[in-house]
Amino acid sequence: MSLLSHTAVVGLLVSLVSFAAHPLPGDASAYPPPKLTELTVVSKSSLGGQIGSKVLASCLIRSTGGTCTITRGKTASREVQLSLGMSWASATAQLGIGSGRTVTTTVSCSSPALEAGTSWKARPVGTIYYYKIRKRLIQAGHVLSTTMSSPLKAFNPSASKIACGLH
Amino acid sequence: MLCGVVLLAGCTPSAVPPASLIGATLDTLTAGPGADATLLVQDASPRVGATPSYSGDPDLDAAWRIVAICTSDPDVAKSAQIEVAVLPDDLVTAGVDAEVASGDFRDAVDCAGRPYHG
Repeated sequence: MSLLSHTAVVGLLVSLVSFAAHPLPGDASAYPPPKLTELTVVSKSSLGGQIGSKVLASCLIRSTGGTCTITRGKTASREVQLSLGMSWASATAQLGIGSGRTVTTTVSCSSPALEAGTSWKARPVGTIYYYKIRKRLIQAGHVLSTTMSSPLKAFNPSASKIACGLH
Repeated sequence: MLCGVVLLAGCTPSAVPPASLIGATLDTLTAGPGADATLLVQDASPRVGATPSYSGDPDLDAAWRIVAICTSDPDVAKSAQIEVAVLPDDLVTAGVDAEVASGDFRDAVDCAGRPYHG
């Protein structure tokens, strides 16, 4: 079983939705099978080594010819778009990424010698995931309805990589 | 026995003001109250006529002296962000020490978002 299908099974969110009828008490055979809601991440693809848009830290050079080093401890946000009622925990499990909201980076970067007034910035580096969320209403093994989300995106920052530069 | 008395009195660890780290070596900060913060290190060597050489190697932090500092909290230990300007220890002469003491290096740090100046 592939990692994707495994996480899809693990992360399957199933919930009892409703009973369609109201049989007499004691008549168990008269209860209709429950309707189940299944939420699954589908059409997943990913692209590694992507630079995030949010600046982790910025350092304004104050001594002409000086340098700035941005060190460890920067906190990068993990971003996961949700839809159709899927939870953060289920989406991250099915994407195969950590469930924490942030990642603390462990690396540093130094600027070259710069003019005073120049900004040296650090941004997160990570993997972007593209996917959709599929919602199916199932009863007795039969799919009653299927809904598909619009295309969604997630960014999973790396703890060991950052990108630094002037922009 | 004394510790027990202090604990019973509800004593908390005293705050570390940023000014207390001016003149200290960088490892005093990075291995101490600033260990968990995001740290920005400005190498101010050109101000004393030297080429910047700070590499970010924490094993060499003891060879660097803090000449300016600002933090995001009045207590260094509670600061999420700390910015320091440093000089190699061997370039900190008595004259440089005097300049640091008189605040000549205060503008060697930017302090945006880190309003507590040393």
